[in-house]
Amino acid sequence: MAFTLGNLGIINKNQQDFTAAIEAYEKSNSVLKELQDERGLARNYNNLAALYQALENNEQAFYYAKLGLSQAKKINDESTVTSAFHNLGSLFSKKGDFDLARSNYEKSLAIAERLDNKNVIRDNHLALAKLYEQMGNPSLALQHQKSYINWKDSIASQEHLKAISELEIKYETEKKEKEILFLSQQQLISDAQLSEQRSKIKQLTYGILAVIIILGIGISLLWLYLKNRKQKELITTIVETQMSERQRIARDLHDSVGGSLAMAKNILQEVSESLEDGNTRIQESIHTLSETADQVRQISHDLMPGELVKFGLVTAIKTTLGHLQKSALQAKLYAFNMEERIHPTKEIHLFRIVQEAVQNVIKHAQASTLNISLNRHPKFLSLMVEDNGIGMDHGSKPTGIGIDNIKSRVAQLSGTLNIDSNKGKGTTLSIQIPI
Amino acid sequence: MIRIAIADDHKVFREGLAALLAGNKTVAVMAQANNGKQVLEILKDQSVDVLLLDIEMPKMDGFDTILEIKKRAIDLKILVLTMHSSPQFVRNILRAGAHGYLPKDIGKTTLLEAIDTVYRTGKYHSAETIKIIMEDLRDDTHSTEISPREKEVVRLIADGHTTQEIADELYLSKHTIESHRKNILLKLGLKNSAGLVKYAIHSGLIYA
Repeated sequence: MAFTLGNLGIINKNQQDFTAAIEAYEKSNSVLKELQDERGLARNYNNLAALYQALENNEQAFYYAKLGLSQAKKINDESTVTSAFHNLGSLFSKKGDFDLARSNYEKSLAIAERLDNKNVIRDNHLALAKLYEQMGNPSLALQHQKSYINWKDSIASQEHLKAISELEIKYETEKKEKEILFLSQQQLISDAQLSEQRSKIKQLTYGILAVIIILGIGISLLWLYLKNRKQKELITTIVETQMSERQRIARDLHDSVGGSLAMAKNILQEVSESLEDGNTRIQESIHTLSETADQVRQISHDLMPGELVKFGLVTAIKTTLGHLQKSALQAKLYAFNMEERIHPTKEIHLFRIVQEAVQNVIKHAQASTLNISLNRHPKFLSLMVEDNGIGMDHGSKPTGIGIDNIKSRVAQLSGTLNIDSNKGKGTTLSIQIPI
Repeated sequence: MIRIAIADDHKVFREGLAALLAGNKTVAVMAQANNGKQVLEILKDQSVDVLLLDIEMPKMDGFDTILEIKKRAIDLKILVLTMHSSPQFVRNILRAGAHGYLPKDIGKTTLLEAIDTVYRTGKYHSAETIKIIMEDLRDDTHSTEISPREKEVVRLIADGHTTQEIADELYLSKHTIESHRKNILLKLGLKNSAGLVKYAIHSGLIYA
């Protein structure tokens, strides 16, 4: 605060507003006293002395100059001491007390020279030159005038140098700033390039990632497809193996076991005919053999119908329908383009589907008519099983082991199954199998 | 003495049959064969009056053997002895050209009677066989014609109904009607529904 007030004083002084400057210094003084800033006080006193001198108030000027000097001496502030002596010198000079003026100037000069305070040295030389002129001593006046000019030039050149160095500094600073600007521009450019590169790397990374993902999906799909195909092939192989095994067992049962039973029966028959009496036991045995033979035949037929293996689908279905003759159900097969045999596996599946469907009609439909259509198209085979029975509720899903078996067989043949049923309007099974 | 050959892949049956016939003075078992091919080999060198032939045999079965004997015009009577007894088998056996059919458990007496009959008259049909064949002929369970349901569909198509309308009328799905339509076109050898209309008019299903 005191410092600010002091500065305010300097500003006012520079603006030639001496009264305001004095006021500011007085205020500064009171603050500095409180703070016990002796050095500041000394300088303020000196400045006040100069101000009063400018205002031609010599009494006050003297008072402050002496106060400043004593204060400066007390704290051994030589810089202020030299200013104070110079001020006193100037004041004595005005008063016309030339000897005192000279001694003060010389004291100021001596201290200034020791401090190398060039401005004060110069001012003292000028003051002394003027003083000797007034005292009528031209040679000393000239000598001081010369010193004054020397110091003035020296200061001027020094200030010049200072200005040059300041300019240099300014120039260097500007250069550096320019360099910094340039560098920061470079930095910006390289940053931009870097970010561009980064985004390129990012894009590339995403691209590679996408390719890897697509490849991964592709490979896993292919793997799944192959696995699926392998599984399908395996299932087909298992089914075909099972079928050929069944066929072999069925044939062995039918021909070998059946044949042996038939022969045993023939022999027993002959024995029975050759005996006179008591052949009821043999008749019983013959009867048992006949029954066993029938059972074997039935098992064999269930495993694999001989008609299907030997004559194909149409004959096998006809045989099945033939067994229904004694029931109330009127069954008929409509077959078209079926003279040529189809693949044995397909024949067996289709035959089992028909068997299953016929069994369903007998068990559940209460139908009087059953029509089976078997039509061979160039690329697919159409099988339809229609009855005029009680049907099922519209919308209700037909269920049951029979239907499930049919569905699974149709699926194994990669075919399609469609079931139409309405309450009281019968049921129609429509199956298409690729061939 | 009727000369007989037995063809059966089943040794127990073959030898049992030979033993069964051995004590009889009217017949003589000349040869035994394991399959059709062996039968044909035997018939090259030997004359046989009656061949007792099984159907299920490896390498060459009974059906092929009959056809081959017919083709080579070998003069003998063929009596098929088989475990099969379904009408389809019996009919196919006789259709192939066998002179008679007997089930394998027929018994010695009937067998000898059959051998004698087929040797003398050229054919043997038991009452049972005739019954099977007659029933099979009477019950016509097989047709290549179009079915009553298919006729209905033809009539409705010819009347200009859409698939949906036909489906509603017959309580069926469009899918089934479509299947019927395809089957009808296939059976009648037609390419499209226009041909169907023509067929419907000609067959009197609808009035023109």
